[in-house]
Amino acid sequence: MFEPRWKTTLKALLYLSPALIVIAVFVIYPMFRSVWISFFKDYNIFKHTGSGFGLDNYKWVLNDGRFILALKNTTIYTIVVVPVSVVIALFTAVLLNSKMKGMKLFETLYFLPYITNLIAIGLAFKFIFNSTYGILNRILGLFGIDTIMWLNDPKYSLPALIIFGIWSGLAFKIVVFLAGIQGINKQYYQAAKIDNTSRWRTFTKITMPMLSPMIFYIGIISFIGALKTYVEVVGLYGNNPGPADTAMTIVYYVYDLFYGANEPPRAAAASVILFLIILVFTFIQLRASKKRVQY
Amino acid sequence: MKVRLENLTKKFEEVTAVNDATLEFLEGKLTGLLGPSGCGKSTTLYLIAGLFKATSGKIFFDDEDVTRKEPEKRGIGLVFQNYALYPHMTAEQNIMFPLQNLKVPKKEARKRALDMAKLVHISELLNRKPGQMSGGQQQRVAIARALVKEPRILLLDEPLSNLDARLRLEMREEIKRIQRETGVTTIFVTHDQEEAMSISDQIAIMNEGLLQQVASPQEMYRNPVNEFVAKFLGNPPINIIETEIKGGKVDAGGFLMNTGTLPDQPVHVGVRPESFRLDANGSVKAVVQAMEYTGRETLLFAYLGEKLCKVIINADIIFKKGDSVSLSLKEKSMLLFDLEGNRLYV
Repeated sequence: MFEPRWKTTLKALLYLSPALIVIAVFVIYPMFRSVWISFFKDYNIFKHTGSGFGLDNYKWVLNDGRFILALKNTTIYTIVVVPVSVVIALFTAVLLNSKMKGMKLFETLYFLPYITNLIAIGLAFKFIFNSTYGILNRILGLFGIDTIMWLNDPKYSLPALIIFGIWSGLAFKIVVFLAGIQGINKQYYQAAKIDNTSRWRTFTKITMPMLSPMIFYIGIISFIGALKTYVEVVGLYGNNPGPADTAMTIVYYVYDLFYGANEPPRAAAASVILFLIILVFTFIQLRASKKRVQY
Repeated sequence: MKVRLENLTKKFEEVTAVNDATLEFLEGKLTGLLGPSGCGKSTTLYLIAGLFKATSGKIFFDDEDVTRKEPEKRGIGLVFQNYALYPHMTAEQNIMFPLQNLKVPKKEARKRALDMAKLVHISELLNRKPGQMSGGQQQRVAIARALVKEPRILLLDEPLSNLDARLRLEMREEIKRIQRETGVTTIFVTHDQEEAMSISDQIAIMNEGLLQQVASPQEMYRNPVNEFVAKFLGNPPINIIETEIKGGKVDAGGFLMNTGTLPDQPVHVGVRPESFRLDANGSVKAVVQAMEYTGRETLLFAYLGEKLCKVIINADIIFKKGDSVSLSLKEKSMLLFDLEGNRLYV
């Protein structure tokens, strides 16, 4: 180790500067700028002036029915998508890890969605969800379930978004879990086998606890991701957030205010609110995990 | 319970890890499965455990053929080389785990875990997780976990190799004590001949997949069936002098031996370092090359003719390089091997 000096610090900053400049221009500056903008009254985007400062934009957003709807949709979406996709991914990873022929092929197949553009997958899902010739209704029809207007019935637009969200997030989670499972020492499983441990107990008492840091990591990442859902909506519905705004999410709302309604200060206020929500929940999760995550 | 292997063979693709092994592990005794790394001793242990499936041959527990039985049905306890304790469970939870699998009521399971902890002397560590314990303590927990379900056989895979020298001595005494107190048939794998000799009732020695000899430690040391066994046992290792039988006699660096009816042939003569005696009337002169003091005794490196031999002498005696010493040999201490390494009996 050596003492930090001005010379070495400057040298380090020089090496870091390409990344720092990009982050500063495209992340840090816009972040502070949007917080700044969110307090303006009667903001003029070209002159960056307004008639004063205050919480008016926040009041407006919090009293906007569309924002409350977006908040409600995003909350439901997050509460369903995160646990369901984590559980499905976990079981799929365990299955993929069991010795079966052709598993390498499956591993590749499962990773395909991750490297495919979400908009393209959204187009495919539009066909799957199509009420007259979509495969989902065909399959449901086999079980005697009537045709569902997935994308056009306001009752089903959020469920459709949730199904799409679960599916599109699986690939990354499965790959991470699979890597985690393969990193667990095989001897634990041999020891468990010799001690006559059932498959279920092996999973709950050995695999799950050993994976807990990874489950937690994936949990937080997908929680934040779900709160910021936007591309999924565009992928499924294009330039409207579902029938009667029923698939509206917070980020979509922000985007819509900014470009659609041309209200940058209000959009900024909404994004600050979203930022605070994510901050608070992530903090709670971090605190909770300290007690839960094993070893 | 007795464990018997009959013509047991295990092949991994092209490699034959265990080749046609037939042997019996004594009931209620501790058998050391000894050999250099890659000799097939761990594979043999895993075959007995059932984690590997035999390519051919049979494994019997008493008279029951268990060759095709799943490991969990065999009623064995296995201690892994790196213990394989579950890191997220306390020592107590680790020990209770096998009992919970068997649906033993919690109260009884706890009592049995406590008894086991007492047996292996870790009663005060029950609430610790493996990461908070030393290697020796983890080893004890692993043994307790293996024994708690009262297995018919206890298998230990290189149990002492992850411990430092002092702990190793302590734990090998402990394994011996625990084995005696429980009377469980125990098989333990090691590459350390001293370890095997010191605690085994019986040693089975393997090399390149082939079982070489099964005998008590004393018998094996005194009466190795071949040059490999003779060389593998003993530290410092046996001296091997290359010479030949001529006219019913062999001359090994000046020491003569009658070879009876053995035909003339080149041979290797093995002499243990402790078989030499410093003897003023000794018939053979050796020239001192170097000395090595270990405290309890001294190891003398001396030329016997052209062969540099190791000789163990009393620690009080001091020689210097170039000194000449007279040596004699204890009775029956020359072991003859042919060039294939097989023992020649006179």
